[in-house]
Amino acid sequence: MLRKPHLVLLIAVALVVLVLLALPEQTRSRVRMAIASLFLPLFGLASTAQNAVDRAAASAVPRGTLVARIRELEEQNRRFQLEAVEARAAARETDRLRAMAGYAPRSPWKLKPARVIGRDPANWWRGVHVDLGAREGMMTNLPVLTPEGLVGKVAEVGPWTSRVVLVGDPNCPVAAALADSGSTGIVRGVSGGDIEGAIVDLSFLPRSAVVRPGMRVVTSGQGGVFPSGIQVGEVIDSRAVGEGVYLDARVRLSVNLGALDHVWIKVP
Amino acid sequence: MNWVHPTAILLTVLLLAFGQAALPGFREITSVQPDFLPAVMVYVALHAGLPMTTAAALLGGLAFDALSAGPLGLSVVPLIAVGVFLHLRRDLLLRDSAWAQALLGAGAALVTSMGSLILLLGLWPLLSGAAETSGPWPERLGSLTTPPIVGPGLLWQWLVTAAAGAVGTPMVFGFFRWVDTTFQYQPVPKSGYRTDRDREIARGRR
Repeated sequence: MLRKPHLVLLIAVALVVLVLLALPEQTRSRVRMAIASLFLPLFGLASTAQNAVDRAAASAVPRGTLVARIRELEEQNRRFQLEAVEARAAARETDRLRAMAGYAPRSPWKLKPARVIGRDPANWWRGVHVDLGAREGMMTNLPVLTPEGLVGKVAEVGPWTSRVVLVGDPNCPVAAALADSGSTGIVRGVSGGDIEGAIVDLSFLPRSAVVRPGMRVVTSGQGGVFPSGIQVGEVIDSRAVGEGVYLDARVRLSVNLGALDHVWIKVP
Repeated sequence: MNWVHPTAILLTVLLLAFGQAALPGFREITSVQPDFLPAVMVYVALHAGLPMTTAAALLGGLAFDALSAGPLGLSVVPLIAVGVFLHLRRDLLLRDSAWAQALLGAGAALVTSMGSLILLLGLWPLLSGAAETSGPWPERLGSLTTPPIVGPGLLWQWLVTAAAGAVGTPMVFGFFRWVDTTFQYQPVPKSGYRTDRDREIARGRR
C-alpha cells in the first residue's frame, strides 16, 4: 500500500504533468526547446566522436581510390558548371519574360546548410533536430530540402537547435502537383502507415487527373510554406477514393529521410 | 544506498533518452526506435524507493518528450504507472532471474508504448494545437495539429519494442550490478565468532 508521503508525491507529479499538458502551444514549445537545449553538449560530443570516426575511416582509404574519386568529382564539377551556365541563361530569359508579362522577378533562394544532430525518438512522429537555431535566424515554417528534394519544414526553434518535421508526418502536409499535368493535391503520411517512411499519399487529386506510375511530384507553391518546383517524389500507383470523387496516389519520396545527415534550410 | 546509485540511475535515464534521439542504429536496422526507459523503470521499481522511481519516470519522460514532437509530459504517465505498479508488487516478483527480468522488461516496454499511444489518441482533442492561420491549404498548421497515423506497422513497432525491452532489461540490471560493485563499498561478511554474552540464555521470572 502507498503511504501518505508517497501519495502526496504522486499527486504532485500528476499536477506537474497536468500543468505541462495544459500549457499553450507556444509556451509548451519554448519549455520543450529549453529542456532539449540541455542536451546540446551531448549532441556536440556525439558529433565530435562521429567526426573522429569518419577521419579515422578516411585515413584508411588507399591513395589510388582517393585520386580516382577526385577525378570523378572534378568531372562532375565541370558538368555542373556547364549546367549552371545553362540555368543562368534560362533564369535571365525567364526574368525577361516575367518583366514583359508584368510579373515581379523571382528572387534567388537563400539557403543555409544545417547538420542533422538527432531524430525524434518516438515512433509516431517523423522529425529530426538540426544544429541551427534562433541565433542563426531560424524561424518556424521555413522549408528544408536537400539536392534530391523536399525534406520538411522547421516546426520548433530553440536558441541553438531547431526541430524539423519531415514530409510524411501528419503535421507536415505539403501542397503538391504532378509535374507533367499540373494537377494539384496534398501530400501527407500514407494511410495505414509506412514503417520505413519512404512512401506518402498524394491526396485530393481531381478525378479527371491522369496519374501514371513514375510521374514526378513537385511542390505546387500554393500552400504558403514551400516554394513551387521542389521535387517531392515519384508516383507508384493511384486509386479512386471518396466514392470516386477524387484520386489518391502513393508517392515514393526522392529523399531518403532515414539517412539524412546534412540539409539546406531556405531562409527569407 | 549512497549517492552513487541514485546518481547513476538518473544519469542513465538522461543518457538513454539522448541516445534514442542521437544514435539511430536500431532504427536503421528495424525501422523502429525501441524505447529502453521502461527497462530502467523495471530496475528502479525493484531496487529503489518510490521517490526514486517517481524521479526517474519524471526525468526520463520529460527528456524523451523534449526531444520528440509529442506533448511535453505525456510519456511521464505510462512510465510512472509501470514503475509504481512494479514497486508495489516488488516482494512478489523475481528480480535475480534473467528470464523474469526479460519478461518484466518486455511487458513494461509494451505497456509503456501502448499506454503512450492510448493517452495520445484519447487526449488528442485537449492536446492538439490550433492552426496558426486559416487558408485553403493546411501547410501553415501549428506543430501539433494532427494525431499520429496508426496502421498495421504498429504491430511491428510493438514487437520490436517488446523484444528490445526483453533484451535490454537484463542488460540494465547487469549494468547497475557493475556500478554497485565498482563504485560502492561492499558489506563486510559477518564473522562466525560469537561472544560468550551471545550464548547466554536470558531467563526471567514469569
